[in-house]
Amino acid sequence: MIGHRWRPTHPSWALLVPAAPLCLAGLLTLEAIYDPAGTSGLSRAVWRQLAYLALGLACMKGIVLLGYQRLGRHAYALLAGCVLLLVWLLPDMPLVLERNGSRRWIGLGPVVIQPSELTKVAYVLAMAWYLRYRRNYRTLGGLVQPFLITLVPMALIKLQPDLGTVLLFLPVLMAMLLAAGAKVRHLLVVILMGVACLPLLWFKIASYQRLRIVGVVLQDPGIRAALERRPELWQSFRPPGVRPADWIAELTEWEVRSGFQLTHSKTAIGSGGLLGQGWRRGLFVEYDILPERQNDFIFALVAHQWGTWGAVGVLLCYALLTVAGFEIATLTNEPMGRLVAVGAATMLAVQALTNVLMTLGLGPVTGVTLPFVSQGGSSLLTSFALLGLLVSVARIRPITLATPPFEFDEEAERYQHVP
Amino acid sequence: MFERRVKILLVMLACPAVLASARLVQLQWWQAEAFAAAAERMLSLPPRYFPALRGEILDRRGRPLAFDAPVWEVAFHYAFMVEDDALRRRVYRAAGLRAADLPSPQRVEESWRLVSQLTGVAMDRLMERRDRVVASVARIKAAVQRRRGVETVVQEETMAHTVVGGLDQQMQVDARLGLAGCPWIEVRPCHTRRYEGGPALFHIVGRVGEVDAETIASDPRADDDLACYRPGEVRGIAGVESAAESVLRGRRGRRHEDQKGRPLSPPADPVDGANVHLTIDAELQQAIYVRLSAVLEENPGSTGACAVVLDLPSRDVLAAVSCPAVGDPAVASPEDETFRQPWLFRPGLARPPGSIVKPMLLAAAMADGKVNTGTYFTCSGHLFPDRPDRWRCMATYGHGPVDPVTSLQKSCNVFYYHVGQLLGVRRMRYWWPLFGLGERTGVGLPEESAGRLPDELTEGAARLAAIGQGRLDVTPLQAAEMAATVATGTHRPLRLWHSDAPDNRKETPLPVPPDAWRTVREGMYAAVNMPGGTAFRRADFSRPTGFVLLGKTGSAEAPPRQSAYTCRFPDGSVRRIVARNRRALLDSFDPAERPTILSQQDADPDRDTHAWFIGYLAPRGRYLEPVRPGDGALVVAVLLEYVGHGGEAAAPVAAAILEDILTGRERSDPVQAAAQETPR
Repeated sequence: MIGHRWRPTHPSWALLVPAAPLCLAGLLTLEAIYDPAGTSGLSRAVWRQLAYLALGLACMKGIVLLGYQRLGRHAYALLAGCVLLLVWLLPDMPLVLERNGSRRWIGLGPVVIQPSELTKVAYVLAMAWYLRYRRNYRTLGGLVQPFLITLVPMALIKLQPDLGTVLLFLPVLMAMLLAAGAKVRHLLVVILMGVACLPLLWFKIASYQRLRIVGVVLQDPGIRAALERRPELWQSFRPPGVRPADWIAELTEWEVRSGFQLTHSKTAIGSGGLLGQGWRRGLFVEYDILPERQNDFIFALVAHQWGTWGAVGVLLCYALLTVAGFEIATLTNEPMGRLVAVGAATMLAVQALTNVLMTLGLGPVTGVTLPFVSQGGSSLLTSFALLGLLVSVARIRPITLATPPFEFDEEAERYQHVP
Repeated sequence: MFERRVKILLVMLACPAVLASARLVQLQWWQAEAFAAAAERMLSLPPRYFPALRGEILDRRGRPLAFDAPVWEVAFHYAFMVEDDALRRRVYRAAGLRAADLPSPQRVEESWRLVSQLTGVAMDRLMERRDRVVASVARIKAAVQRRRGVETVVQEETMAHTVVGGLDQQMQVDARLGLAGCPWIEVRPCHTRRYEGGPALFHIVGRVGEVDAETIASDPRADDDLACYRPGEVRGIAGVESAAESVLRGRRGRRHEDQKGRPLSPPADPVDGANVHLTIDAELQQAIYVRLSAVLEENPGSTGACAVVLDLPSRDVLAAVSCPAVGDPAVASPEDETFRQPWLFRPGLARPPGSIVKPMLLAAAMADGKVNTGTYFTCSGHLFPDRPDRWRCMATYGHGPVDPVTSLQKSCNVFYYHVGQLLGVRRMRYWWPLFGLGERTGVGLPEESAGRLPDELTEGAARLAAIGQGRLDVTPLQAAEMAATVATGTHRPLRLWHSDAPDNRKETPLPVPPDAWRTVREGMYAAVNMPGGTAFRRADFSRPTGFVLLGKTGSAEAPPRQSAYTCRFPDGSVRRIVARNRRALLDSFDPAERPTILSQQDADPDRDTHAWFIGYLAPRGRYLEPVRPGDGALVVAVLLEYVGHGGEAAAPVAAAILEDILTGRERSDPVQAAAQETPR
């Protein structure tokens, strides 16, 4: 439909149909938050979001017109540009905006860019470009290079710090490698190595991040009570530099300290009930008691207003989007297209899942937005850019007589001694 | 293979999605009710507190001397102190205004200048105040964020903060009119402490000041959130404001509601502090202050003067005047400040009493049987025949044979050297507290000293103490109390202020036989009314009254007004510096340049003595008997520092003060005054 024809059977529809209700849910929630009484017309925040939406659609159209292949030729340059922007954020450079102690934004007058969001798109393109004609990643050594490419932006984003975005890259890389045909046992080795490195990471992250991760366990009052009964056990986890009294308070006052956000978000979801409080209704809409409710925790308000049905509906939309993305990947024969589609769809799915699981208390609290729903220009633009890549892959279906790519025959390989 | 792997991927992604759906069901079906209840609890807001008015301080006739007066303050909404559009919209929405009407930054900037114009506070002072508020709110916000791990809007961000205070009625009207178009600025009422009564009451009424961190840390009522101290509040720091703090201070009110306005705890209304009634007569206090100021003007070498008047037998303090006082332009020049130290509350300051302790000592010696009416000692002008230069009496050639009455009339030192030797310091230490020496008098002021009693048990110390010198220091309040004890034969603490609590001061009879009292009173009568008395013809009233004055003069040798100190400085130089005392000398240097004091010399050898007079009015014809209620008797104590002889300098002042009171009584209630003056 974005192309020359408006065919209702075109797979692009499967992408746009689920994206529309997601955007709508976001807009309605924003309107409810910023104008709970419904007195004046659309609030400024909604107009802004609508403007970003238009910009996102334009961006998507632009990517479709350019085509992922033409973009792919410049993928390394794009990624290098993004890395440069990320490096720009590190030292005390002009135009960098600092909020809540993290340096993630570059302000150009009224326009604020978040380089880590742009990096996501560039990364999918670059990784697809890198993997498209190779087969060396089917050896353990061949996996080193893709991981090195991934580690550069990851490290830079970790330094901002933005742990949530960092953790998006590894699942996407794994998905792309798996789709490209890397050997499962190699990937398992890599995962095991990663798990072995986790303790190292544990000591590398800030104490508040550690508490957020531990919070997934601590949210259970029974576990907290058990730990309170054995304070010496809890003290043994105390990071250096924290006073014992403060550390005990982290446990006894968990709900108003590190668990504040999670407790409020779960309450917002739970108090929504099965049917929800209704649009513009409910305590969490009327009163600003859930911080970041318009942004990272918007899913809690969706569930608060529209109940289980609304929340499951949102999950279904993401499921449809992901399935459509994977379907597009299987429909095309073009190797790069396949990898771009798998990468983009996985990126969207993992981001949505990370956000939803965090809101529900099934994962640590990280600053990951909900694609298409959360307020914010960079997030919306990135989501539509990923969508644009998917549509672009769906549009171009080259007729080729070659065997479909990434269809390795392990048995044949064993006889031919192909690496 | 690709398709299979994509399917594997899909399944891997579906697992957490299914998990999320199950969690949704758990939260929204099974625990929905619990969470709905929890959500209501999350609406709770921190409690709001409302200040209570501080009680008034009134004089004995109900004239207010200290009270909370209404003033107004200009408060700026925090959102307009910083540039935060979201907060500003929030403020506008809360006020029922349209967010579209938000002012431009220029308009806000202009409003600051307008506030500066209307209140007369300089722009940079306003900006300084703004920066302080912004910094303090940022600190609070950072602390909350650190605790919760997420940025939240704190209450202080949605409030208006005071930038200018203390506006009077006219200024607040102007400010309201001028700032009518600026809904982000509030002109709101508050109150400030006002003082009437002028310098004469400066020390007694005292002052309030902002509570400091130390007070908050040691607050005994820290657990009571309606009574504990909070930063920015005031408390009494001097005088009755401090002594009666627990009475004057009210309890603040509290509203603890959630965001819907439902009460979370029963509301508490503010309870204003209770009024405190002084026993002081402000008019009398002022009159005495004027009189003492005149004395100081005549005696430029005097460092200060004070007087105490008590009602008998109630011991209510009618006046306790310290001159000079802070805020008196006549003495407030900087050189006077260091010389006369107007901040000192002299009625509560211990000084050598001189001969005014003699009546008390005579009563004690007679009660102990060491002296009786027939006892006499011969005074040849000095105690030891072979040492005419030591242990001298005022009379150069001696008083001859001296009996107890004459000893008081002429204030014979030699007689009291003997009395001192007979009693000894150990026995005196039993008697002094019975007359109230060495103990606070019960007026309860923090500025009051308990005085000093000698602890050396030698004969010399006893002789010195017997003439009121040496290591014996007495406050004018104690001196007045001592005279009151002689007048009634009983001891009772003084009273300076009271609230509604019943008067539970006990009257304690002293173990002194009535004959001894009569001898003492006879001696005090003779001192004022008989030829040869130290105050004879010095303390006469200008016309006959129904009272006689009994009294005792004192001329106490006082420490030098200044001393010369030989000092060695850190750089090795040695210099002579004249200063009031060691403390004043050391305080005048930076810690790094402080000298060590090598020796000290008297730089004030020709100084006059402190002039004391204590006495009381007794009904004429019955002055040997104890004063009774309804007699209209009064006690007066006067101390003039470095003025000279008690009889010559202090007695006339005391008599003039008493005559003022008697004249005032006649004016206000002629019938009662006449009845009191009829000799019974």
